[in-house]
Amino acid sequence: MIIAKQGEFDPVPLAALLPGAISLIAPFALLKENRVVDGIPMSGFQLAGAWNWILIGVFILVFLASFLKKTLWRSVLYGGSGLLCFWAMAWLLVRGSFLLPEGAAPRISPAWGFWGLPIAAYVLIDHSRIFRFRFGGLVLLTLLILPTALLFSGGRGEAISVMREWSARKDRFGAEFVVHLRLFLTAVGGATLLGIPLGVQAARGGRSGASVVSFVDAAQTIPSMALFGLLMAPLAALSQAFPLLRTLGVRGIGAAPALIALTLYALLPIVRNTVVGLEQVPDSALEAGLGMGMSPPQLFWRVQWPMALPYVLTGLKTASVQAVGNTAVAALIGAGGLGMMIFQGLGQSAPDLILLGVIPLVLLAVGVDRIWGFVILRTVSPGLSTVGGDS
Amino acid sequence: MTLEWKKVSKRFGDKQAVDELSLEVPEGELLVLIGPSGCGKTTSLKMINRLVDPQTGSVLVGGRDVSHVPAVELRRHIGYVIQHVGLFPHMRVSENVGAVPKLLGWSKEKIEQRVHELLELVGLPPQDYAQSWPAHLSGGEAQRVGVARALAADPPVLLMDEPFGAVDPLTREILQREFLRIQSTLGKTVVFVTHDLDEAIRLGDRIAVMNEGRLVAAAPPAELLLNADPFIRDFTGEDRALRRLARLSVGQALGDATPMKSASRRDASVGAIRTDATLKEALSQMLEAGETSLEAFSPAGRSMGTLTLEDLLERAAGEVAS
Repeated sequence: MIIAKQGEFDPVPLAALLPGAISLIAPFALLKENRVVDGIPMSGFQLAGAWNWILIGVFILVFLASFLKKTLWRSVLYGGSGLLCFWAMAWLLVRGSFLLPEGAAPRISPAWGFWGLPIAAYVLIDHSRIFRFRFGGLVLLTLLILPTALLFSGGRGEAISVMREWSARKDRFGAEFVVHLRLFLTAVGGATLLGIPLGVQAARGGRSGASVVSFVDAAQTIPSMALFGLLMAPLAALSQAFPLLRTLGVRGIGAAPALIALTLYALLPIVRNTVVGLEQVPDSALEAGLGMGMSPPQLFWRVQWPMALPYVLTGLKTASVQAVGNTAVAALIGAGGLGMMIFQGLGQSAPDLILLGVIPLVLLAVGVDRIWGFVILRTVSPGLSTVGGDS
Repeated sequence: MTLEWKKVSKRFGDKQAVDELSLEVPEGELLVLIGPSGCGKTTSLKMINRLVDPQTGSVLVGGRDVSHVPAVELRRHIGYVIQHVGLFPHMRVSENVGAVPKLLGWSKEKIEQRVHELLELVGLPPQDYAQSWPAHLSGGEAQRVGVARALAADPPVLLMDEPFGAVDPLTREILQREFLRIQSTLGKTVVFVTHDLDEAIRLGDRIAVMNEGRLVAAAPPAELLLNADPFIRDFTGEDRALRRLARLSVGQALGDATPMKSASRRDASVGAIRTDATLKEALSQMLEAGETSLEAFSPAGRSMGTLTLEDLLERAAGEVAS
């Protein structure tokens, strides 16, 4: 029997079908004559025309499959449908751009129903097992990006609102992106150089270590906006008092307070995880190392550090991903970065411009997360993880 | 290599952990330190590899006062096995075993060869185990690796701190037997801490009983079980006569020098017993069959004479020197 027994119904695809159905019924995109006017809402149904039966058919298949036994074919269906949802997202926008009214720069903006498709795609692909092999992530990435890029190529994607915003400020966007990268990398780099030695010191015990941790803890509780504000006055005063600092670019606003605040925020996960990583090393391993004649540096580098490494790297990952997001807030005090697009978009009530800031921000955060995941996989001893420990 | 504690004392705060301990261990002896918890046995052990330094008195290893030897240098030539094994989880079994040779700067080939030898010695086929991770070993396997690691640089002295205390009784017995086999070929000077009297009797050439930091007695197992000291009597328990019988083989009782093999299992036939069975097993068999004598056979099947209940009574009372 391929029908699953009672109680084996797979509920996860429902979490994809619901948003998928919403994107067909609800306003999927707004067709606008220009940036400012209200657009004409179009649902997925209206945009897809007769083609929507393909999507509906696939949704029905997925629904039926959730009653079937867990097989490779079911997984293929889930994965394939997920990809289809993703491609449909791009394709519906391109189709919609042919229906645009005449105008100087007509554009198609995603409406709230649009987001149903990426959610459906994410749930289905994540639930499918077919990309869980070596380099499966890269294959998936290619399958997502390549067809989408082809759809958008040859000018077919230029009427999409985010693309319009982008082409209006290509140079500016590139520059802000670089500023964003530089800010977040400098902050995480500084926090790493500072945080790991502090963590090691704190793990060795003593009052200095404990006070470091509580200071870093306290810094974390201050909201980022407040911290920027707090730093502005003293830095402005310092910059007034010491002309040298001023020539170095230290002022109450701009990169200096942003870097200080971002570094403070990145410190906590790094210090914390270094301490936890070193403290979880069992006493028996330390006693064995000491008893066999390791000197204190040998004990640290051969036993404590490698055993703490997975924790330390996870701390770096958390700090990096957080810093990508926190850096956006730094735009408020004139440090630049992708936050500029977001806050300008908010100021001008231009959601498309906000998206131009948000989308690369999300992609950057996901990318940073994945890169660290790869680094952790490669540098941590397989003996320390329960999975993949063989051979 | 000989070991000696010379009037050694150590206090931890208010507590006198070790009080004027004086004891010598001749080369090649397996000395068991035993006593109730907190009696100072582990502290005494750790003084040998300087994990603990005494406040007064001195500890000699091979005639040299250890306080004059750099701790790191000393420890690399003393094998150390602890209860919780303390394998390094991020290193493969082969790297764990090769840890001390690596500290000593041996060549890669030499380390690899040595690791191979040692895994064979402790009964873990290298082709199956060398590349494993500690997380995948059972408790017994992990402690075998722990013993192999301690033996890696062929140290003349081996310190074992309740090494088999954390494994199940069946595995413990197997490990004890294996360890006796290894020790009989290597002949290390061993100090073995335990709180398990049966283990002490099974393994020890000599047992040193400690209480409240003081040495109460140090004697071979059979003698210790005859000791009239009230603390020793109490410590060795109501069934110490049986424990003494468990130390001796039928062959020994009948006057031949067949060494006892605890691995033996008696034949099923009633009225006969193999010479390598223990006297405790012989007594059990007599009680079960309602007999007062048993025919003894060598493992090869040769008749070796008759074991009587009187023989057992004499041995249990310690009237015949063993």
